[in-house]
Amino acid sequence: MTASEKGGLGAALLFAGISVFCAAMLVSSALISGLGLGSMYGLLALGFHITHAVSSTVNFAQGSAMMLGAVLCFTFWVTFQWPLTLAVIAGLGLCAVWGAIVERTAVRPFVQRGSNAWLMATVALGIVLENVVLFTFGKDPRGMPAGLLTTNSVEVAGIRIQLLQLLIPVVGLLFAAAIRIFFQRFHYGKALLAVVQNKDAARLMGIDVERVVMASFALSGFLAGVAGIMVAPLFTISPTMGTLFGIKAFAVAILGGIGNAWGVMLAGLIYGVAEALIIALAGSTYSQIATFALVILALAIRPTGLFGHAEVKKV
Amino acid sequence: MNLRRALAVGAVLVGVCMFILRANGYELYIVALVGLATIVGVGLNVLLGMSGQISLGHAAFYAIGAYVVGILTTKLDWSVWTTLPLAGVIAGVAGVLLAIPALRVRGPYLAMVTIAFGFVVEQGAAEWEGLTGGWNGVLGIPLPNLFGFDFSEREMAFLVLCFTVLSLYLYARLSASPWGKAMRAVRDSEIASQSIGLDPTLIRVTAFAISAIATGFAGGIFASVTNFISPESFPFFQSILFLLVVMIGGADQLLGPLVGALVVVLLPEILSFLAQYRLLFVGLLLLLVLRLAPGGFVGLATELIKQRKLGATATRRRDVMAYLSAGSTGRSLSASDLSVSFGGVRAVDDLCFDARPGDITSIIGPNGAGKSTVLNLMCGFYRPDNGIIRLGEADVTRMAAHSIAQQGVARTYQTTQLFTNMTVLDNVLIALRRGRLGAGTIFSRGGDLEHQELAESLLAFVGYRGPLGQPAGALPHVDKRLVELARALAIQPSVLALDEPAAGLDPADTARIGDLLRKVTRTGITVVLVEHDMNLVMSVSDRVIVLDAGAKIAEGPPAQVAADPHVLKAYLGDEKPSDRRRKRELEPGREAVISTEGLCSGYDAVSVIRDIN
Repeated sequence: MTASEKGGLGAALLFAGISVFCAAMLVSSALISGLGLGSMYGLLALGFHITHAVSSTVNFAQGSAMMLGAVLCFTFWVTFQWPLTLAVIAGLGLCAVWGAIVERTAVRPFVQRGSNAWLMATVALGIVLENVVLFTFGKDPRGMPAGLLTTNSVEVAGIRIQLLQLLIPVVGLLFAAAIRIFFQRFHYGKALLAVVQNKDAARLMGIDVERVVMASFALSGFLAGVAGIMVAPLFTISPTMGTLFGIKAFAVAILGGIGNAWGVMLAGLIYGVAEALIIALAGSTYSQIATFALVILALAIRPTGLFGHAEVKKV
Repeated sequence: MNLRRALAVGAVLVGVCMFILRANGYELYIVALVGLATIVGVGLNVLLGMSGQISLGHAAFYAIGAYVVGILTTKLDWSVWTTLPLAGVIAGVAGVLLAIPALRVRGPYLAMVTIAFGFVVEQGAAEWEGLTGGWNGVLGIPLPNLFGFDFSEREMAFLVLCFTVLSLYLYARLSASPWGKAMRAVRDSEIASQSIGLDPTLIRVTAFAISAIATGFAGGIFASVTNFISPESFPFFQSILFLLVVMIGGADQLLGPLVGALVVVLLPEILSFLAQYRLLFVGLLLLLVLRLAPGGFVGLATELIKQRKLGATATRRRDVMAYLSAGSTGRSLSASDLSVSFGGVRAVDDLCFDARPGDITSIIGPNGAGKSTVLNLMCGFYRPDNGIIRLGEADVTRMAAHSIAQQGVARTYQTTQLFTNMTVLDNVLIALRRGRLGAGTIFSRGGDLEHQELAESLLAFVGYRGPLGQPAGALPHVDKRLVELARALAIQPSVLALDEPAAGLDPADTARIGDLLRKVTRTGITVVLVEHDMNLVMSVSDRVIVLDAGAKIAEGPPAQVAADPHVLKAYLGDEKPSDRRRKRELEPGREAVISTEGLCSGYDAVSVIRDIN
């Protein structure tokens, strides 16, 4: 082997090494942002899960609730100059109220007469909210001002990560765990579960089923609000920011098998990471096509979702 | 179609033609848009209204049709006339492909599959630049020409009008055809549709295909009308607008899509000074319609007019006994070593029985003994873990439910499974075909006189005296049982399996059911009866099989079984019957937890509780 050959080999090795390193960097940063975004999909999807579990209905206005959370938080904090904590609490509270409104106006009237038109009704309500925000908040996207969490960052193995990006998955998983504990330990959580099992029996046990259903919608609105506030600094805030996010979260809920809380959260992480990897490796142009095609494929293979169970149909 | 209706349609058409002749370019464009929205609405109505499946991705089929015409006419200079049918065909193929995953899922899962499909097509059109021009779209799509005569917008509006009328006409034909009835049957009760021999998969795919073809075709015309298409013409929101067209007009209403299209297309134009609030209005309108007029505007109108069609009664009665005898092939139904478990519980355990033709074989047992499970195994709703079920000599063990029904095993259900939104007559009519719809009948006229007479005779045979044109869901309980029985007999069964036909009936009606069953056996039909009413079982059965915890504990003629100590034990437990009778008066010193006086309650006509103190 001549010197030049050796040099060539060395250069090739170096090049290969660098590209492997770059790919690893790319993949690991994709992993981090994917986990963050994925846990937010999961949080929104948990909202789908809760209402579906309690009332067999799905709130297609979830995306708009997420947008509402971000918009309200921005308005209270930046426009009204409220302290951040107050802005967040007020924003989340109103998101919960919005969830309850959706249940009262677009779900309950239809469930009571045995119709499944709640699907379109919640879509309609989402459109209405989106447009109301459009006329009050304005069309132009706005960025959340830089804060403690976005300006500070840590460096892990050469990758700079915003604190927020680390916080997002932690918050997501904390909420998932909190919901789990709420269901298992607390009286009201158990009431929710009782309604899930058998509406009529729960009613006979003195549980106010209507209120429990409404509470589940409020909770799902609250979770959507959390997701909206968390991701707002990563994106821009606009009336339409929730639409696609909501649809993706719905895909996550369906993939996870909508009846399974952990399955939904896990599906959120998988979806987020898959999306981030596709963007990192193939570019953002094909990410939507690829992820939605994967959703169709997954449901074709497993019609009850990745982690769902088929129910034995009773005849 | 009667004369008055024909005149009304004619007058409307003449009016529209006059308008088109004098309209300006903008008005012509609006006319075309209304027509196209109607055609899409008609297609979506087949899917949503008739077959009860939702699609939140119909804009994708519209886009596929539009791009087929757009690309082929501009890049390959094909004529619009050749590309239009192709647009329908390719969209139809896409519809069938989408149906494959879509058929395996229901409700929100189906909504998700169609949403995803819509996004894939929209984004695909945007990214596949070489073919679709990406976000720049396809420009310069020509209007058609005929024998060298170039169409203007005016001729195009006439063309759209023709296709709109054609689509409504085809919908009316499909609606009256066996296929239309089959789609409604699958929509109302998938389980019951299988037990009259309908294949839900085939019927759902057909609905998807028809719907996609109509939408793709309309998309093709749209491309030619607008001259320019891009991915922005087919957003997710467009799919919602299409759904709105159907829902505002009224699902499964013939004229629903036309009314819906008029509202959805014209309203924003009329309110154009409020252009920016357009979507807000769309959302509010949708909410209002869903809340106040669940049947849509057309549904509301027909309800107000309240012309209850009672169904013309055919003059001639058919000989039902002869019809049933012709179908009953004298085949027995037998099971050997039949077992099935659900999650470790053996619901049916090594069961053997033989139900003979012309006999009534009853299966009795305490709650949870596995009686209904045996029926479900027989009819193909559950797959046994092992064992063989034979119909005559043929092994039917692993056949699909609808194939078993086609072989001649009919079935009724513990809680009646009627096609609730179809008329009583249609419930029986669709069963007469025993699943043989035939490809040629898809747009055929309904109203086969022979079938009509047969269906009415069957209903009379089971003792149904109510109106024939009423929706089956609105019937009183007794009548529901009778209609379900007539529907089961309509498939000309060899085996009739009944799951608690007397549940909720009073003694007089129960006795009538008993007489009817005896009559049915004279035609050689094998009757398998699961029943709790011991009077009925003991009076009509030829043989009784007793199940307990999934296993057979006794079998024989009714009298012998009734005296069997094992049977008594299974029903009453180990104690002597006298021990079980508790007749303690309320102790005076204690307060009653619940006290009632003269409490009465009942289901429909049957009083269940009388004077409980």
